Order: sequence, then structure tokens, then C-alpha cells
Amino acid sequence: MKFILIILSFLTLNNGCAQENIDQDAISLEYSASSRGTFKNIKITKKNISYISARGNEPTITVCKKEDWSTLLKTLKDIDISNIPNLKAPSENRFFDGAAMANFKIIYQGKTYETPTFDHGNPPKEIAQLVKEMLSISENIE
Amino acid sequence: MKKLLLSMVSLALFFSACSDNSKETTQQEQQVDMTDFYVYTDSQENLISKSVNSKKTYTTCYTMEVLNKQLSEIPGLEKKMYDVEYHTRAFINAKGKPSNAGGGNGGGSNSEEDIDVLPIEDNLGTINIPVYIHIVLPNANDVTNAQIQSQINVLNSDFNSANTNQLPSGASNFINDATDSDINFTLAGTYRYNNSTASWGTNNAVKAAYPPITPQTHLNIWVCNIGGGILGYAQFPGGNSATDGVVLLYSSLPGGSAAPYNLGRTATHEVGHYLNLRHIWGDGRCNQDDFVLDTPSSDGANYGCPSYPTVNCKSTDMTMNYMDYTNDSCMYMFTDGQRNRMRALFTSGGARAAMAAN
Repeated sequence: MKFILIILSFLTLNNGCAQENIDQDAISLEYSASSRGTFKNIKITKKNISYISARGNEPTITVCKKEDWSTLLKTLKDIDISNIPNLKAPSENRFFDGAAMANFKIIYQGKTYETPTFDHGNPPKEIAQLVKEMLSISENIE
Repeated sequence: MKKLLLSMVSLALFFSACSDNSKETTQQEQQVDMTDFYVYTDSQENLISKSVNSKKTYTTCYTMEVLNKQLSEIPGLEKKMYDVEYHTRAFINAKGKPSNAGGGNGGGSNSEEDIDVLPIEDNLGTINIPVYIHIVLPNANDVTNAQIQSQINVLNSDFNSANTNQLPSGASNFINDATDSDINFTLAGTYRYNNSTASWGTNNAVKAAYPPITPQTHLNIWVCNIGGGILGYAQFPGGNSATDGVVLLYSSLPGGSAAPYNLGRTATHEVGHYLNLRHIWGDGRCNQDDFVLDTPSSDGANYGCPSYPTVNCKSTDMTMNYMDYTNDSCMYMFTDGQRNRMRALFTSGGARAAMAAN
């Protein structure tokens, strides 16, 4: 019995460690904002950035700069990825069209973690910095 | 052993009796069921914890966070909106009798359940809403009087026509839902303000600069440049009267440059919010409702001009409803349930009852 416990604790410890060494090639970050009159979608991987600035448009694809990626990774390390689906929108202006509807999604090692919808311009504070970085990277493409 | 069994059985009996009891009391208390009401939440599992009944949970969630001015005002606003909702539901429960039309009332093109809400006889007759327009632009004459009259005409047409002739041939199960809301709008005055502000945003700044005129009895509409791709925004009934009304992007008015949103339907959509309508998809997933029985459930907005049928949440979306996000030319109906919800505001004790006297 004790032996099993020890093995279990080792397993959980190992899981904890895996967070530290993020598998960079297995990450895809996506942010989208959509309202009746506006649309944008940003997808970023280590390799490239895909940006759509209007509904129905083809994405503009550019190379993801090393420094941009490392900034994103640094911000990402502070985020509890598994908790992303439980994040709460701090405001609900989209109910009366006062904000576009925004979603943030991260695909990590084949698993998708997506936030509930929140107001574009006011993300849950846990991902606020990351969203800000993604938006500023996409603005440089425009 | 026997003793144990006996005590177990009696325990089980005790529990079942208990749960029966509690069921009865909740049924008696909840003549108006408010359990699904949401003001400031997104995910279903938090509806109860954030409802007004347990405001404490809600407050402790956020008091530690320095958010914005608006959030600190939410507890009071939430209570007001709850009261508006309670009045609306009490009125509809007392007067409205939804029926499942089945084959009898047109039926449907498919096997979907067709809930038919009947228009409630509220004895209000035609409701007349006088409108003040505030045009706030670098050159306020850019929006012409003809455009403003045209916008008023669009509102009158949309709130007084069922437009069933525009429904796609397959949408026979929407025919009995399309309604005539019987709400009229008349232009009470136009005010022009030359102001060089390039974009006013969505935080009511334009209303602070040019306050509404008698919002208790008049609909105030600000026409300006909003920015951020926003076509317009509204305020639900129950909110602060200093910011009561609708803001429209100047180019969304009929003849404006915001195609495909330049036929004046942005105003119809925003006035829908102003009259207590939610987005038709309920701003959430399939199980989050818009509080209207005869609109199908959906898990998101529709855009552009969708083909029929567009199916989400196992039912055909009413993409032609004014409270969806489709193009101006592709939306042309409110439902009877939406009509009843809007008109409940004007009945005795309702949030906009003072307007019914106009």
C-alpha cells in the first residue's frame, strides 16, 4: 500500500515538472474577437502568425519572430493552462453590443483549452498580459 | 441484521419524505421562476452562485479586485435588472399561455418542436415612443434630416410588420412566431452638435457630454462615431437614467456608408435591447436562454446572410431575427414572445410604464 502511494506521488511530481519544460512545438495560441461589425482572429505558433482582420478574409501569414515568441512563452509560464476553461469574464458589455465577443484558446499537446466568451478589451486578468502581447504582435502585422 | 435493515429502510423513507417536502415548498414559493436569470455571468454552473439571491458570493468574488468603476456599481444595477425581469415574468406568467402547436398550427418543415407563444392582450393598444436624436459629429450636418426620418420609418416598419412573406419557403415553423409589436416611434426633436472627437467608445462618454432629455418618457438616440468596429450599443431597462438610450454609429443609418449594415437595422437591434431583449442565442452556450420561449436555442451569433436551415443546438436558428447578428437585409422579424417581453415594460409597474402614457 505504502509502495503504491510512493509511486503515485512520484507520478504527480513528474507531472508537475512537465509544466516547467514546455514543449514549444506543441503550442498554438488563438485569440478571436467578433461582433456584428467587426472581426479579428490571431493564431500564433512558434513558427508563424496567422492573422485575419475581417470576416471571410484569407489569413495573412507571417513568420513568428524569436523575440515575440519568447515574450509569449514567458507570459504563458505564469498561466495555469488547465484552468483556462474556468476563467470568468470580468464584464458583460457584449450583452448590449458595448464590446465584441472575445475568446482565447490554447492548444497544447493536442488538447484544447478554451475560455468562456468575454468582452474584447477586458479579458480575465489571468490571461490579460498574454492577450495584450498577442494583440500588439498582430497590430504590427496590420 | 434485521434491525439494521429496518433502520436503513426507515432512514430511506425519512430521506425520501424530506425531499418530497422540500420540492413542494419550492414549487409553492416559485410562482415566478428566476433560477435561470443572469446579468453578469457566462458559464451555466455559475448562474446560481452569482444570482441576486446569493449576492454575497458574487461580491466576495470581486471586491478584492480593482476593476473598473462600472463593476463597483453592479450590485445595485443587478438588483434593478432583477426587479425588471421579475415584473416581466410575473406579467407573462399571468397572461401568456404558450402552446405546442404541433401539426395544428402550421407545423414545421421538419420534426422540430414548434413552441407557439400567443400575443398577450395587454390593453395598451399602440405604444407611442417619442424620440430625441442627438447628432454628435465633427460636422453634425453630415447626417441629413432625410436620413433621420428614414431611420424613424425603419423602426416603425420593423416594430409593426411581421414580414412573413420574407421567410424562406422552408421556414414554415417560424410563420406563427413572426409578430407585429405595435410600437410606434415619432421624431420629437433633432439636436446637432459639432464635436471633433474622432471616436466616442462604448463607455457612455457621448451621453455624459450631451445628456438625455426626459429619458423617462422619451427614447434618446445618440448618433456619432463609436470606433472599434462597433455599430451601436444600448442599455437595458433598469439602468441609470442619465445614460438611458441607444448609441448608433452615424454610418449605420439608412443611406450611410457602413454596408451591409446601412439599412437602419442596427437601430432596430439596439432598441430591442433598450426594450429588454437579449441576443437570440442568449449570450452563452445551448443551455443559456434569451428568456423567450418561441426563439430556438443556439450557442452563438450568426453573421452575414445565412442559408436556411442553419442548425445549432439541434434546432434551426432564427437567423432572420433582429436580435441575431446578421446583415441588415437578412433580418426582418421579432417573435410574439419578444413582443410580449418588450410590451411588459409598459404595463403597470413596468420599467417604462411612464412611456405608455405618451
